[in-house]
Amino acid sequence: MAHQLLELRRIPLSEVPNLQLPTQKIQSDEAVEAWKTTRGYQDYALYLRRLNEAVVGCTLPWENPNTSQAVLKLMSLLDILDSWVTEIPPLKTPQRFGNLAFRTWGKRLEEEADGLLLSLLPTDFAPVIPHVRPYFISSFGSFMRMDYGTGHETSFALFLCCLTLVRFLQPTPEEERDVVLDVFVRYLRLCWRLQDVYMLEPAGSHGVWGLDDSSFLGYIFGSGQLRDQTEIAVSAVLHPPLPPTNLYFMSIMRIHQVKHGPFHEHSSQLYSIAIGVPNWGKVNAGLFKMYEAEVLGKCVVVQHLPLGGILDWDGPSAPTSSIPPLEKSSSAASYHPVQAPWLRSQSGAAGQSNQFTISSTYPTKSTRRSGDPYAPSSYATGTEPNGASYRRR
Amino acid sequence: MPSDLDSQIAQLSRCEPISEAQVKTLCIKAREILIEEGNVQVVDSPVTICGDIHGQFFDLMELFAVGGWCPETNYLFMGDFVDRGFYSVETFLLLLALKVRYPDRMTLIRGNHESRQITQVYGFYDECQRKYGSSNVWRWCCEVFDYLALGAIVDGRVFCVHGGLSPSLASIDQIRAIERKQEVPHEGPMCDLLWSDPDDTITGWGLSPRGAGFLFGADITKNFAHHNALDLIARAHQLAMEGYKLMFDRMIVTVWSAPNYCYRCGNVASILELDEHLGQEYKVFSHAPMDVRSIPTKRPPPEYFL
Repeated sequence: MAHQLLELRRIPLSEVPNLQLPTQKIQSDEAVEAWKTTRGYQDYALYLRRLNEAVVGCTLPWENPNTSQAVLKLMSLLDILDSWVTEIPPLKTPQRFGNLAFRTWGKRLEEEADGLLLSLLPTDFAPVIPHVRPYFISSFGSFMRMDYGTGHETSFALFLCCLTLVRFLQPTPEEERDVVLDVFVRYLRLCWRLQDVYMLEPAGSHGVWGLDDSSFLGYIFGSGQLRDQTEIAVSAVLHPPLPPTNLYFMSIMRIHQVKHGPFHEHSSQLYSIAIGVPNWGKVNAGLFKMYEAEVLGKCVVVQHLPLGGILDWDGPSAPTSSIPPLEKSSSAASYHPVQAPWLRSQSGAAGQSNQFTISSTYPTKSTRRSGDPYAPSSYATGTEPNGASYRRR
Repeated sequence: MPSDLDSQIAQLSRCEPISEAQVKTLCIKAREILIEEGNVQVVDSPVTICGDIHGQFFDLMELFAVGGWCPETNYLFMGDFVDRGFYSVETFLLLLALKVRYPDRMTLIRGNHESRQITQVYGFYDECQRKYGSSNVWRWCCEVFDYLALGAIVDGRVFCVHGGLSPSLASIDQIRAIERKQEVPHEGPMCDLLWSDPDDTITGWGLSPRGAGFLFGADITKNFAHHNALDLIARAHQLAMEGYKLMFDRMIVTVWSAPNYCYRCGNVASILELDEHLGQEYKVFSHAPMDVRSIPTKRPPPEYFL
């Protein structure tokens, strides 16, 4: 049943210095649509399909005696980041959510990112560093908002995609299998630890109507692992505890670890998949469609992603005006569960200059918001998501 | 009408949604009542003040068990009825039906989630689509949101608002001058009332990391209270693990009424009972036990999986 997928294209290292550095290009639903026509988007979509295909039938824990040096080095990079969590304990403060120590962790990541990437990559890959650095440092959450969500997870997958396009990682099924079952699993565990230790909030989830508060790719890869077997039914997820043999089960058990209440309420989508989708093949295919629509297709999620360069933006030109970073917060404010959707991203720790911007001009608060430049077009044009217009008063 | 309404209230109290046609009629009726209310609704004590609910229907039933049923108890809900939880539809429609049935015993003011834009991101829009198969109910509810009061004042002494203060508003009379019947703007006084937060680490005003509204310190709070002859400012908008949090020498209180928020926060919730002398009693409650919740209904999986 293995699907034959195209080769992932190769970007020669000699071309990398000539590429533009990635910048945030998405500010509207139209720009999201434009992105989907770009070569960078197509490369990423193919890359995810290839990762998925590589793990069909594989069971965790995964052991490959021939794991490449590149994968091993990525694993030790994640180990280093994990050790920082131990070195930077949460602050003893009355606030219970969004521990400020996460900003210290983030500041360290920003300060040491270049060094970490230098030791990860061979010397001749040096020109790649400024291209992948933005994805790398936004892979673990927002240090300003102290939250984590599918946009950050996507950032990490784009980081891996870039490393494969330039052939630090090899697009072979064997290496792709290691990337999912070793690197991605290691990444997920690190993110879970960050969420737990620093009490990170889910970044703008659809409440109980989203697939998961913070993750998506684990469900894709996990359903890929289970795709071609029939022994384990889709409805098996309703009967925890589930063994950690695949990323789908691991993700479900993670939910049971952090949430208390009826599964059909707090995880209504996963519940309806469990009772209504007949086989893992349909789950896997459906999750790909859902990821494209609900994560990659949502302006409020992907507006944070820097694009262009290695992730080639060759489609219709997107607005290239700079996106202002959020002003430094003057507060050690307590819990901020809800963000205005028109609030633009900030990749860096509070007060750090934003890696992704091409201008460091700080607008005033009022200019930042004037004219609703960041409003989803559905609001700006007075239409609801399905396109029907509503009456404005 | 009252008998129809009473049967709808009974139905919604069992966590059973009413029909689309009934929602439409209810929303029209609610708008007729709300349009007559001021931006700052005047409320008499005794009254029970509640914070965010976020679609946690069975926890709202716990709240009523603790605080008494309406109309026996006079209620003031400070917004954020919808989003996040599983039962935003049933929660908001029940509160709205009670508002229409007992307009003088149920005060509803607007939270930052009572907005078209926010409900599209945080769940209420998805919920209406899933439960009714179209966005009509969402649209009618959003039209009601536009008419909700921005605040309330109890006996002229306790000011209630969802978020907090605004640098553009020095007095409660200035709030009365706002043209409120619109979608929540991205900035300006109306936005600030629904989005701002008190902050004990600053003086004056600070920029909010939420991207809307402001942070305000003890000095701002005390000045506003003094200038408007207030005993207390009651607000919601922020999770308080103990259900409520008094700040700035008890001049402002955050009341939070969604226990175990998002099924994961492990917090308790509270309501604030103000007696006829405006004495404060905080009643704390926990989330509803599992066995009182509804049984799962079989809904088809999202279209992606068909």
